[in-house]
Amino acid sequence: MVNNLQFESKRLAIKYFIVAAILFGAQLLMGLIAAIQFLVPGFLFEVFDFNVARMVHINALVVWMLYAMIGSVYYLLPDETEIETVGIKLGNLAFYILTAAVTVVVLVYILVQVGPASEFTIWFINEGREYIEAPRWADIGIVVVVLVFVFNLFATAIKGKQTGIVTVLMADVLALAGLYLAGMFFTDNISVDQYWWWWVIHLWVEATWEVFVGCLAAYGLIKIIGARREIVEMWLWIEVTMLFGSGILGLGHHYFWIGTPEYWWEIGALFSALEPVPLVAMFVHVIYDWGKETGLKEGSEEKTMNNSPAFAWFVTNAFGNFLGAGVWGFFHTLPQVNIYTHGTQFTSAHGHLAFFGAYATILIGMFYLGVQGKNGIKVLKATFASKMAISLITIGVLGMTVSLTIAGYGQVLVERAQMGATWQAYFVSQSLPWFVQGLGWRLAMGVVTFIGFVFLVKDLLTTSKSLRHIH
Amino acid sequence: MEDVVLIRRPEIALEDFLPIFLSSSFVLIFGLFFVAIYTLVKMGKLKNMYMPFAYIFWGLQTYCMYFFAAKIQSNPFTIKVLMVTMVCYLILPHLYYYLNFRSEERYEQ
Repeated sequence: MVNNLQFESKRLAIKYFIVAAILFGAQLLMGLIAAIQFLVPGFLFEVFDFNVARMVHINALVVWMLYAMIGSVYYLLPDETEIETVGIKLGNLAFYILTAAVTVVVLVYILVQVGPASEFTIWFINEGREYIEAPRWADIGIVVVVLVFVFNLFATAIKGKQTGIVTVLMADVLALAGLYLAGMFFTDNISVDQYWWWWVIHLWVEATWEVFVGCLAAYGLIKIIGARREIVEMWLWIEVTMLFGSGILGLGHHYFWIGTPEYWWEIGALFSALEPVPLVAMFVHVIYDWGKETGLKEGSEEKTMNNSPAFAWFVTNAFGNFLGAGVWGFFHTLPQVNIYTHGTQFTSAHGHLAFFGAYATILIGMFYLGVQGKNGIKVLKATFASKMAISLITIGVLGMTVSLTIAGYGQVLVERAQMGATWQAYFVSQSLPWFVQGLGWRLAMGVVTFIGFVFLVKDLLTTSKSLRHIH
Repeated sequence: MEDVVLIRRPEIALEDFLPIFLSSSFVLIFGLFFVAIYTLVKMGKLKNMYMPFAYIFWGLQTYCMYFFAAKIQSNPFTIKVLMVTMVCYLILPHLYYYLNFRSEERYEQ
């Protein structure tokens, strides 16, 4: 197939997107296995236990998103800076090293699974730190690879044109890479250890990743509907200010569990309440820009949207971000409520919709921008497969979220509020009809999501061959 | 003997869980309706007569925020700060569109 990309940086981005899509599929498969194990605990018992399926499910999620994020930066860099990415050969080398390392780590997770719980386990099997369980050798390797990426971004931005999007990305990626270090050392005190570990995932998802999404949304709006750079970059800066403020202090709502002083309850509660405001602003900005830009171009022959599938995913991002990170986050994470909801299926409901709505959607949108660029398509229109993909994946994830919320509600009332979070309470709640049926529906909706993923892959692979596209 | 520091944990009544989950969700949903209607009117996609509905949604949102904060037993100072925040949220879209229209006027000149 002809590759229409002029920049090596964009070609590298496509490689990142391909691995990201493969890992996305692996994540969904592992999720399905774990969902079956909830209902049939003996399924693959002692062959592929729930803890392993869950670990690979979550780690594949984090890693595919990081792959897609790095790919997105390499994709947009030549457009923004107007030059080829500096150190692109190093970038290519880092890609192959990272992919080899990820493959080895996943194979160890699947084939070896557990170790002697000594230093050997920490170095070569897994570190046992939820969401970032990579063994220490891979941890260090990831830091090196990310440093190469950060260097490439900074060197290119300094040499080329420095737009607002690139400047925000520079600050954001530095924070994203730096925060990873907080999860790399151990302390003997589990509370202190958790304090640092929380910083990685929670400051990633509540601050740096959200700002990152803001950058992609700004770039995407300019590329897809020709939004004015002044407007989207102005919003980007406002979002940066608000997200760093609310994201960092809002993190206090988690501190309830790790023995920090009581004043964090109130600080965390207040700033958590403010966290959705930038998300609402982002949504409004999408409608406003879209309305203004279509309005400006009324009556002209010029196409106002040149990539319908990508735009559909970007709009889904605005809604999904608000619902998943906003509504589902706000109603169960404040400390006063979180004491009852923590670790129940509520957390899982929030996690599923937030990761999908806030991140997966916009990154899939970037996949479509990559396909458009690679195949040299001027106007990419939606196909049957792309409509099925977005519909089934969105319905599937929303369905999973609602099912898990119902299961979680039963769990909160019986396991936590009525029976006081005892061991017996846990087992009683696990057999509640609402809980069991909720998890049954979660599995069914997981299957719907997976079918949507199959349509997505088909569409991404065959989109250039469709006659409905206008070249 | 050292003083023992006790952290008081709020006890939420069983019948309060559902109102808490619903009211906190409505804080965000009504907030979205407020800015969405306000924005659509400013864009000219909705007539001016719909603007009062935006303020009604802001009122509902503020009530839900107060109700929710009281139900989870937030301390009185936090509730006051949250109410001030709601006033800021009321002003924010006005400020944004004022600045936006002024800058567009200058841009077009």
